Amino acid sequence: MSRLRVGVVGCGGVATVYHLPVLKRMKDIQVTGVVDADGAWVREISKQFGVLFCSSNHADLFGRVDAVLVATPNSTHSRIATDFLEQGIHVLCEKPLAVSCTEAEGMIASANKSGARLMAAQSRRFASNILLSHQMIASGYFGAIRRLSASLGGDYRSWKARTDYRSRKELAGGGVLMDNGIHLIDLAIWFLGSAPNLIEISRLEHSLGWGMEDHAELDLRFGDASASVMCSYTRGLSAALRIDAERGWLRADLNDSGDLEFYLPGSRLCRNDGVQRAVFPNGGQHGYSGIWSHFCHALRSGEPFGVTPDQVIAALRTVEFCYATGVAPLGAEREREQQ
Amino acid sequence: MSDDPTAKGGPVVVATQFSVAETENEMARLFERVVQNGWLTCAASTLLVRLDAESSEIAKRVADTIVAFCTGLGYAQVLLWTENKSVPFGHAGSSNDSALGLCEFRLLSACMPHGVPARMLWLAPFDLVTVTTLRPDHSYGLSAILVAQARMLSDDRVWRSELIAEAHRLVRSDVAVVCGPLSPIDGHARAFCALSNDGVALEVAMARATGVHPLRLPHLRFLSTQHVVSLDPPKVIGELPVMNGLAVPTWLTMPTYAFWRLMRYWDQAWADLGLACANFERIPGFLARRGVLKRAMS
Repeated sequence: MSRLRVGVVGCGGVATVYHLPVLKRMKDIQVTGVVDADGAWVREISKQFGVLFCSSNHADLFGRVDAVLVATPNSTHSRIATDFLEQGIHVLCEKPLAVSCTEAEGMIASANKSGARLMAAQSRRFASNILLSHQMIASGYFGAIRRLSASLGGDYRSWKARTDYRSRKELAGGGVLMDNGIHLIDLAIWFLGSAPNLIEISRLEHSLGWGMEDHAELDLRFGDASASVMCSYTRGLSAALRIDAERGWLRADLNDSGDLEFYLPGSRLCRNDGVQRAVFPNGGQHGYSGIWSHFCHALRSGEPFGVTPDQVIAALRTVEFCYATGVAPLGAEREREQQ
Repeated sequence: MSDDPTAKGGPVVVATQFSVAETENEMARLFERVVQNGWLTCAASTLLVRLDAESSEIAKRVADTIVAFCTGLGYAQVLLWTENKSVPFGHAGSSNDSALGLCEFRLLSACMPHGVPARMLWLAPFDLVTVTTLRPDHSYGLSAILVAQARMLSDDRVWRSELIAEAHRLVRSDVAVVCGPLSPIDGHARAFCALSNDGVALEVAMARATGVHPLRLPHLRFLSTQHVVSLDPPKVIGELPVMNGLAVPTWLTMPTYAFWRLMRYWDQAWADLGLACANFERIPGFLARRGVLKRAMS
């Protein structure tokens, strides 16, 4: 079986630290080209990862690749991904798929028209502990989910990022909700199996002065179940997913794919010894490894992607709703104005 | 039943000897008592009867009888799980294979270096009856219920004391059954059966029946260092057979056990060396990535 030829468009932090090392290790994938707006930088990256072709123009990858990773700033996803889709090239697009539902729907329409396939890189889903959690819940062992809580956050200034596009609204398209929050909203939609039917904004803070939220807290309702989502650029939050269900609970670390705690009072495992902690061989599969394995397998087998267009649109619609209704921030700027 | 000590909740061993031809009747009588005394909660919808792989014909008949008897107890399903034959089991949405199959994860354990391999099966609520045959064992002197429980956690053929301790922690049986053939007496093939609501009590009773002090058995000694267990003689109702000489003598088990321990630590040392080497291999990549990021920041 021939190897899948993959190109990488956008060589920022997420591509060089996570995606490219994973791609280089995968036996059924060959990275045939890298593209970045910074010509000197992309040459260095191509040398470092042993990629023969590099360019500053994504159109140069046409004809050289079967699939691409689009890891450029958020507001450019739609344009670049659509260019590839129109050429019949499959696209794995970093999250958020687009900065608005309209753009995302346009991308999906392009994919449907050309026959090329498009998936949003909701990589958190594909970590070993999250996959197992979903399997346990889907198998019915825990019963129906009552409440899901997810949080992710830390001081943005301590992040190692190549560019500061997150602080520029015209590139990021949104604040922390669009960046980290979309992961958590996506997890809630995936676990609870539908779009939220009620969205309450508990807090949107704008303390960094970027004109976008840097701390967000949402409460989502999914029928009888509820979800609490908290993400931040300014506060250290535990990177964790916790699910309380009818018959037990589980807690997965979002930064450590090898860690999962669960409690099921009736189960054989917990009946004698209470809470159990699961460990995975070799620390578990990281989300980026998982998503590439899944993407590659789905392309070869023709099976549907795990991340469906409906789920992506539902997550984006939630964020859009927050931006549309949460214009009045509860954060520091607002408080200062009031004073 | 108020005078029956089995009703008082403490560890009790019920023993009987019978003609092989009477196995079904005898086991039905014993299990009626088990149910009356609440050893099986019947709260779970499923009863799983686990027949250990290396069991005798007697044990197979005993397990079949238990399944037949318990079918009328109100369980939604009563299932027999043998080594090579999977039973229909599983929740809605999960296939039988995935329910019985080993999971990709292991349960963190104080005893095992890489945890204990888990089965999806263990996430389900069910009552568990384990049936096995008493026999000599070169590593442990005696193999009874504790070794059979350990076998449920792993397909590994080396039954380490750590695994026995973990099995006692995770998959303790509600009812433990040990049985085996006795020498023919008066031309009739006879058998014995002992069952208990406490696997350790049953193991201790079996050890004493074979004339060995429980602390002379390495796995019981190890278990007593990991769990709060009593190695005192349990209350026995009925009569256990005298089986002096069945257990492998201590002078033979000691070197065998020491050999397995040595192998265990050798494996661990080898694994540690492998991990260290893997980490050395990661250093150049780590430094390169760090360099790239530094240049990106500058």
